[in-house]
Amino acid sequence: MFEFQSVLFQGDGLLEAIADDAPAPGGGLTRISRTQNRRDPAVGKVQLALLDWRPGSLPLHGPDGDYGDETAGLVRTFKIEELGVAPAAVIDDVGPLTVQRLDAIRAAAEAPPIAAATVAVVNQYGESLSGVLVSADDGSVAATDEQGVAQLALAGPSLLTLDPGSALAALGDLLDRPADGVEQGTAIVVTPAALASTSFPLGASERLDVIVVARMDVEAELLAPLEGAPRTEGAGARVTIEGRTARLALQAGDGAMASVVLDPPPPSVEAPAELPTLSAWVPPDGYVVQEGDTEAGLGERFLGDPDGFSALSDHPPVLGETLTLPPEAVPGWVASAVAPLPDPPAPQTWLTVVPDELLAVLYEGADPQPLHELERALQAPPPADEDPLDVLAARADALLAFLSLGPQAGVGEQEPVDTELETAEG
Amino acid sequence: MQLTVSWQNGSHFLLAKAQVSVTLAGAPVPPTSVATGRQEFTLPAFTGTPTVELTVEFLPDFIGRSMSVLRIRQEYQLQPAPLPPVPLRYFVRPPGASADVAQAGAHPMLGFMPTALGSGFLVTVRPTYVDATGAQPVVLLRPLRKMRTTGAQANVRVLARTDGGRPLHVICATPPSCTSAQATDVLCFLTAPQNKPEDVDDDASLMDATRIQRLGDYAKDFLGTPRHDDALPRRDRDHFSRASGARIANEVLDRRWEDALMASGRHVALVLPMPSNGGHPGANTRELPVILRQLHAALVALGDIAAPSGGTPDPPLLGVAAHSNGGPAMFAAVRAAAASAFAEIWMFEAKTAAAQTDMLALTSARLLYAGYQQSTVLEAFDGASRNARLAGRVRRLPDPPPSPKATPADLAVSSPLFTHMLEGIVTPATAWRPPAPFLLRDGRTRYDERFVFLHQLIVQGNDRDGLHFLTKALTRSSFR
Repeated sequence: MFEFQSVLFQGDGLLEAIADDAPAPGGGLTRISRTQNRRDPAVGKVQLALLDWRPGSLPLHGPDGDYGDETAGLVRTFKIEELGVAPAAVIDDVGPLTVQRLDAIRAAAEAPPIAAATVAVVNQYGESLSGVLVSADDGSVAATDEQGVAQLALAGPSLLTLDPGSALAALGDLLDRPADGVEQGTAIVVTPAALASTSFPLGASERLDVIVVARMDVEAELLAPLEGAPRTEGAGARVTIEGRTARLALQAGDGAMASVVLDPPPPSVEAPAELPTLSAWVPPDGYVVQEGDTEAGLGERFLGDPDGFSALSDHPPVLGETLTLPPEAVPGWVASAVAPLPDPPAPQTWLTVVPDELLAVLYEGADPQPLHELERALQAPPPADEDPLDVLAARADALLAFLSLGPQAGVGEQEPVDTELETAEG
Repeated sequence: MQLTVSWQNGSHFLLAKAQVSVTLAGAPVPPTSVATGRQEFTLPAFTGTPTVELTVEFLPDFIGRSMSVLRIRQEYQLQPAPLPPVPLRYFVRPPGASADVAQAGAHPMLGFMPTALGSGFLVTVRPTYVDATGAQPVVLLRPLRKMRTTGAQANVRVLARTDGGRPLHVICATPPSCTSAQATDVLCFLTAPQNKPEDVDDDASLMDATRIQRLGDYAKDFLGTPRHDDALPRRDRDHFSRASGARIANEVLDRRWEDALMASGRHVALVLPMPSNGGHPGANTRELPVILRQLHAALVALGDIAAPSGGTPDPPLLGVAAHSNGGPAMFAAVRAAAASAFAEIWMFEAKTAAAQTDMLALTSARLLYAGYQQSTVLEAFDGASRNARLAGRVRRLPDPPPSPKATPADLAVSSPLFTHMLEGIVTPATAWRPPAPFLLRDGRTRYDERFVFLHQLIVQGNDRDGLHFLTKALTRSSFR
């Protein structure tokens, strides 16, 4: 006697008789057809099983419990396609093979769904991350769909890993986003760097929610003025200044280092300053040699040439003597002002940072030393180098002022008496 | 929710013993993890927006007893997850006060990082400078106490640096009115390093009784008010008292800066970094503005600087001053720092001042030249006055300046303190006839006696109006 697997067919005497190919009471074999058992309650069960096989296949009457032309036609199709009966040999009634196969189909439909593990991956803003590869230790792999969900058919409890590369690609650039995010709830929080070394135990039909956090901010009050424009070299860091607060936006990535440099501010002097012509200046009559004056020093001061003293005197300087200055004599600092300008100021490195290290401090309890060092660096931006144009302009201002004093000013003064205390130094 | 507290330099002997306490809505929360420089807490589940109070206090064992070198008390208001907590207010305790004063926002020595998921937050403590005044309070401040006037006094502290950088020790004097001022600025005075005995600034200055005495002497030397009385012990006399034969020790360089500071009425903290090795290592770099703001933060934490209750102190303006051989260190710092780092640059006969005009013209600071020396003051001021970029931001003390050819008698008439000083050497002033030779303390006679007076007058001197130079410099500064 055939044993039905489906709950639907179990205990139905007519279906059992058909399955066993039992004789019909009136002769012949027991069947369901247009003329035999046409409206038996078993007809509706057969129709439901047929719909399990091919949903929507009784569009006119549905499972109405009547074995009419529509149902008979579907049975005919079932026998051809499912049982492999030659069309010419098909009888459109319900016989033993049909009942037995429909029972199997119905039993499969009645069975609980096949066990599948579900992994949902979102970023810290709760947005789905698609395309993240999820692997199980049995070798099965699935990628998260547009809802950030991946399903894996697991034979039993397994260890899952998420592919860091595909996760990073799914995260994209978040530096313009704030560092806040969704509530954690029961989700597991992990940084991109930790994905490579983290396994998630998961049962065959369990669900795992993963939040990949990548963004954090470090803020500090500037303890020194900011000179120049901050610019980032490398990925994963961006500095913004709000009043006296410097905010460093960080995004973890592949463990790479980023640097923030300060580009020099634009020159405060628009056009290169030109030194005034010296022809307008009548040099002083002379200079009284002071204690400590040397040939090289005097040459540098008045002629811009440490070897030029011979133009001032034919003998080494003697304390108290008056040197006659030639017309081209200028104060020493003029000589340096007309020297070629040094290179423009170079960008200053403000700080270097590995965002992944800092994410680990915040989310993985790592040693906070890198964070302390970063805070300290963030507080103290480097000053810009002096702008050579500014230097030149300042010297030009000084020269103009000097020239306005007339020929006798600025040289020939007696040096002051040494006023240093002896036991208490300066 | 996890709360992690982490502090820099956790192994430093001043920070090794930390007391960290956390309360949630008034209920204590025990730590779940305690390590060097780090403690962790798990806050219980909460509803609404309760307050978390964090208190961090460093209590090192010091010469046989425990003392508090820094106490930080901050309140955070928790928000429903995932919103991060909000730094609500912090509390400071002004000297002598019986209760804390609330200040709005985040404590200047705290960093704060919430996790993105509202699951916790990390607080970083930046105790770069802490208060070491209690190390040996009797030895440390006794010399100063002996030599203070009975008038208004500042809050004086010795702050110690914990990150290994220099200067390790800084003496700070802050007027008591700064405990309720919207803005308190910072003036750093780089004194002239001394070589006899050598200035030394190291950890032993807090651990060794003799060295602690040296810190105390330094505070007394510059802040104390000596008396013009030959009968007093030499250390208590002003510089111009007649010495009894022996050379005068270095510490007899008393300059009554506390009086000058208090008389100015300004909200300015005067900080004196300890020199060492013949210079001012650490302070002579671009770090100086950073150091001064760290000192400001420490003085806020210690209650010497506070805004009116419920407010937040404004960021300080910074000034830097130097005397004589302190000049090169100051100019090195100014040159290396940002052009706008300092609001005031004061040169009290600061060495090499005359060579710095071009460099100073590139800053945005107001300049003050004080004293009488030809090169460091007269020439330097003259050059600065002729620099178009410095127009309107150059001053000179004395004000009005005396003629470069003024005789000592002229100068004596110009200043009450001059008369006083001259009386210390010749008696009485009417008997003094320039250019008479005087018996100097080392037994030699020199005509340039007046320069010796003036050298000291740079800082402790006064004008005809009776104001000390330092007072006058402060009063006419850009400090608020």
